[in-house]
Amino acid sequence: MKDTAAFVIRVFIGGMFIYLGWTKTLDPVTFLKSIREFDILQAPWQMNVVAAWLPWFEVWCGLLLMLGVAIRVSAFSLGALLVAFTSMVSWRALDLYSAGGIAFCDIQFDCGCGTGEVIVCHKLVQNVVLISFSFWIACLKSHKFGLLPAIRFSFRSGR
Amino acid sequence: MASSKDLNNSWPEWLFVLGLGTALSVILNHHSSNGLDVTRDYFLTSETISPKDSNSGRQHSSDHSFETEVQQSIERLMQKGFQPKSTVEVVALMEDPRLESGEVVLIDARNETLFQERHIPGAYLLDHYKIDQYIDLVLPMCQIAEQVIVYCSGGHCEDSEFTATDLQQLGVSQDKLFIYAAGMRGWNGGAYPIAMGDRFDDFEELHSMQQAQETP
Repeated sequence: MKDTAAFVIRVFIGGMFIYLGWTKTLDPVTFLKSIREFDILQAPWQMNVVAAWLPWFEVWCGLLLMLGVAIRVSAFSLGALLVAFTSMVSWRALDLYSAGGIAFCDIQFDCGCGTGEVIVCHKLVQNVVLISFSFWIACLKSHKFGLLPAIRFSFRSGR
Repeated sequence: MASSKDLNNSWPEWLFVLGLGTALSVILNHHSSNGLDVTRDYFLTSETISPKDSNSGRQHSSDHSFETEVQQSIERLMQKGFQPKSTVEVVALMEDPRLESGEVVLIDARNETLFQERHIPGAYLLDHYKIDQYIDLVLPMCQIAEQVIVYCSGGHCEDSEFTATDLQQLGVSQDKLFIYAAGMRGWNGGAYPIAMGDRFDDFEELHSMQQAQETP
């Protein structure tokens, strides 16, 4: 049962990141503009590197997760990315909230996530669930139902 | 459950995911037709419009009208030395022979997809983010024109400003550079003539529309 659940979640998260990453690769300029709106990275090259690297990296990790290759590290990487995204979305939402005039959960903006404009509260709940799933997948000792056998790299005991 | 020690010990797996993933990202970005040039300053070191002012924070929609956005943009553009054009002035161009003769050049600073969907008749596409693809056609037109009017989506959209700055840096005098700050949002709101697809048959379509309007 746990294996089936882990497989379903893995395919879901992997597929979602492939879709979201691919959407961004088709229009990296829009993603670059979103990064700029967060006002966290200042140097142009920093924004460019993130906008150029992140979408393809999301697709790559999503593919690995779906195919069952290097599952723990790819799940951990996606979980870490989600933590970073969630922090940035929260920070920006709080910034908008501090401008006053509306309830926190009524705030909507395009977070650059690849899904267009989102309601902040929905996005935060969704991300917390996805972060939990990603780290749960990353922490599982073994995985079944991989389309490809999990590639394990280790110089120790042939693991 | 795997321990954190397991994750720490699997450094070759980390190398595979992060190293190969990063290498692939660099290669794919380089070869993609949409790829970014990481060395370029796309925003011309201009300050970000605060999220509180930007139209992306939807909570302001009730008290933050499009007209306010346009007015703020006009003030910002004038501070930077650009001259604004109003919707009335751009509408008048539709019947001005100088637009067709090239004495007045309209520049659409949005991307190709948006341009193909709809643009102001007679406009040339000049996407600031892919300027190399269009500049060879557009720059000579701008150099001989009396007026160059640049627009983008309107309101807080900054692409018209970036494109006008590109043109200025390429030798087009700032005296003849104008920005239509209301952009496509302002144009669409007034139900003015619209062209779709490429530019080459814009004037034919425009004349047909004008004749149809004149015919009782």
